[in-house]
Amino acid sequence: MNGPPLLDIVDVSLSYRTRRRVVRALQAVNLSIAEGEAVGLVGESGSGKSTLARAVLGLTPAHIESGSIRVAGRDVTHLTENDWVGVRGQPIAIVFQDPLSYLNPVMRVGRQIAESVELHTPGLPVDGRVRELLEQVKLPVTCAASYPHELSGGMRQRVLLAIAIACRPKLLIADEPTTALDVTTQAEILTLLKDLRAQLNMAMLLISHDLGIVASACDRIYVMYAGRTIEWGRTASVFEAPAHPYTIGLMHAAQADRDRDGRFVTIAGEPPDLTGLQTGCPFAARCSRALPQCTELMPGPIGLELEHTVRCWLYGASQSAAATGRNGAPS
Amino acid sequence: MTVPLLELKDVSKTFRRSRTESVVALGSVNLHVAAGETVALVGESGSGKSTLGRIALGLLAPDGGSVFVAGRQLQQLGAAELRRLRAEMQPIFQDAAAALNPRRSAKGHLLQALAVRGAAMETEAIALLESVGLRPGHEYLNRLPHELSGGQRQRLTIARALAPQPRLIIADEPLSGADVSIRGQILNLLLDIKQERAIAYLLITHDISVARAFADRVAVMMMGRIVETGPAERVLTRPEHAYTRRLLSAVPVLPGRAIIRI
Amino acid sequence: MREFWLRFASHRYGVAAGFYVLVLVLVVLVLEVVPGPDPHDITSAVMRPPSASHTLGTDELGRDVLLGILHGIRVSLTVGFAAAFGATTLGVVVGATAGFYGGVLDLLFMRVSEIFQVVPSFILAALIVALSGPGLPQVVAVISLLAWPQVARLMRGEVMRLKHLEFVDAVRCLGTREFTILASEIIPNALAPALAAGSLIVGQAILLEAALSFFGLSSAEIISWGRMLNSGQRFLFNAWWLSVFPGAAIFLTVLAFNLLGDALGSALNPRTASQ
Repeated sequence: MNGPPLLDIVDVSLSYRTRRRVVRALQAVNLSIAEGEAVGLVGESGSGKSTLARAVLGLTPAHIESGSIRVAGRDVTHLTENDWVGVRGQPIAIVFQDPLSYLNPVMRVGRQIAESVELHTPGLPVDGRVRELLEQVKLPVTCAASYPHELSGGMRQRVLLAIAIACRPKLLIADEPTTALDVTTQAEILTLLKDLRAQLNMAMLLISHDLGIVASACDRIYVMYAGRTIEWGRTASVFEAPAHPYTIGLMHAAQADRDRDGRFVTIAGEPPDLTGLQTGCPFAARCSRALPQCTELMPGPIGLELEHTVRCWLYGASQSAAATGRNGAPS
Repeated sequence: MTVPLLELKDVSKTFRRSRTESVVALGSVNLHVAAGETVALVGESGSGKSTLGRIALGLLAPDGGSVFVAGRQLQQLGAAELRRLRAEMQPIFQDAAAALNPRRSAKGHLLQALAVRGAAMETEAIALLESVGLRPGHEYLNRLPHELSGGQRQRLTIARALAPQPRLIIADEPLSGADVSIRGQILNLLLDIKQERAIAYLLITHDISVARAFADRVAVMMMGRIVETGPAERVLTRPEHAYTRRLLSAVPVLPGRAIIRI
Repeated sequence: MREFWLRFASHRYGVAAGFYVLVLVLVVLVLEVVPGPDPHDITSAVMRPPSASHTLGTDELGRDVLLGILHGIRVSLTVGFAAAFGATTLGVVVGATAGFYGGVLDLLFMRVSEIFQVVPSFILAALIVALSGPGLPQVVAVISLLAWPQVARLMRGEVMRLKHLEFVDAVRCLGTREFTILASEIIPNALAPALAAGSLIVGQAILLEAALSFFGLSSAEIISWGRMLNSGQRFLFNAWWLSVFPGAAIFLTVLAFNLLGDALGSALNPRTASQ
């Protein structure tokens, strides 16, 4: 990795108020993305992954309470709306889950792509650029005259991607880009993302609850639970030797694995409650291997192998990471 | 040869989008589910699988073909007979929140369903709640749907489906609404129900792994037609139809295998 | 039920409005039992501004304004509640039926409701008065006929949204009859916006009654705030109290019912519970 990371999130905490409670959406989150890198962010509802994505672009109503976010070296933690204009689109663009909600239903898609072009590259001949973008996302040029509802889900997502890459972003944040799509369309969009990344040397933050997607598309992944990053590292390392009990459970659940008695391996309990003060690890209540200290104190990052880190007391006992063994069990 | 619990013969359905446009949702579909069997109906959006599910439940009338439940043809039944037959097949829907009346408590939902077989008693309702893992049952009786978590709501809809003691459950994407970490719990619940009560399932899903985990037979749908059926093991490992192969290959596979630690 | 009152109580303005309405009702009840001085009494104390003996002044016939306002409450509340009740009931029934069954029934009902929305209120009032003479029942009828379409439309919209939800199908699969589904599953969930609109109609009715009175289309013998405004408008500049006080009474009462309607609307929603 040369130079400062493209995106550097350091110890970020963020809460917001609903009518009577305070929801701690993010707690001391650390994440970094280098230029050209594809990073995955995995978590379920309440994990904070979408909040984190939006916080990077100042799209949350809440303020960042502590920590900092740097984009290409520039501190964006407390920007005003005007300042954000210089970050949104270029160098960071974002696409969301449900393209239909994010496209103007009464405007032809060609016009919507053109808007992005005009905003970020003024002076460029618009029609030519729109055609170029449509080709890049593998859409027929005739699509430009269509309205969003006339296109299929996959095509709409491609339009969103065209709008995003019109800005020639350095980093593309894709928040559940394929969740609303069929499996076959999903595969096409993932291939497209890979191609676009190669063509534009674009980094990507891919957010999903679907482990399979993240596994196939990302170099490194972070696993989030209850507003915290609990495990991260190179995709291969994390998948072959998941360390955190939550990560292990998630992988079993994703593949509908069964145990010796033929029952599906599950994670007991309910998703976390983000309100109220909690000490210790938020997963402790559901963890079958919880230790006494798990409810007292949240463990800091513990390095396992090269580029594989976990926050779990199961690995904190031993000093050296190398002694933990391939499947991450404490020796 | 015993009569299948559910049989769809040459079922077709067309929807009128406007005066000039029609969409063929189903084109001559044949499907059957035997007693105690789990059949997974796999397809992507637009394949017509949900429409087929609704026709099987008698919520929608087919334009062509016929639907037989326990040997009786639905279209030929009088309104009263149809209502009685309804108890045999119960639905589980994808969106548990939309599948519950926001103003009715858990008790209200269950008593309403129990009334179908004349068993509308609180003790029965409590037993049902506990059988789906909502324990202690009496604590959940007066809860309204919005006072339950997503997983709890889905369990309640399952309890409601079980109340009339059906022989067939038609589940339309029962796991899609739930978080991944809850899915295993719901899957185990469905598995228990299948094993303890010998209920047949028509499981409608786009998720191959659910089909793989559960089904005895698999039927693959594409654009309103069934393109392949057969034993689950065979269809999912040695698919014959090109579309099935495409569907299976599109599912991302996780690298490596996490070792099971119990 | 308890949750309903708790949610309602969290709306300070709604509660204040509720108390105001209760006070009005109390006055009406007290006056039934203890009539007190007759507001129709013509005295020689003509056109007196507010003073110690006549708190809100007197009009051109020496009648006390305060007495007039207190006795006028009955008319306003009666017309308001009766019209709102009539309009809401009619609107709920028509809207729910049209929304649920759809098809020809829906077309028919909606065209009829449009006719009533389009007809000018005074034409309708004049027509009815011409046919059966002026009077409070006629006023109530006119207002109900004019106001039911707004309730019907809301109800229809809610019913149409609800009937596609899965819980309706789930109940159908239990063998429930269609009509029972409409009555016990759909209507209770669709009522909230319709009832909120209904409470707003009370305010509309009071205003409309005042307007009809103003033009002499309402009952002539009964004291109403509208009629007081009617008489007082000639003297707007030399006897301001004849218009201001009845006007204020109308304003406050309509405002109170609007606030009540808001509070009622959100209190009826099981989801706006404390978060």
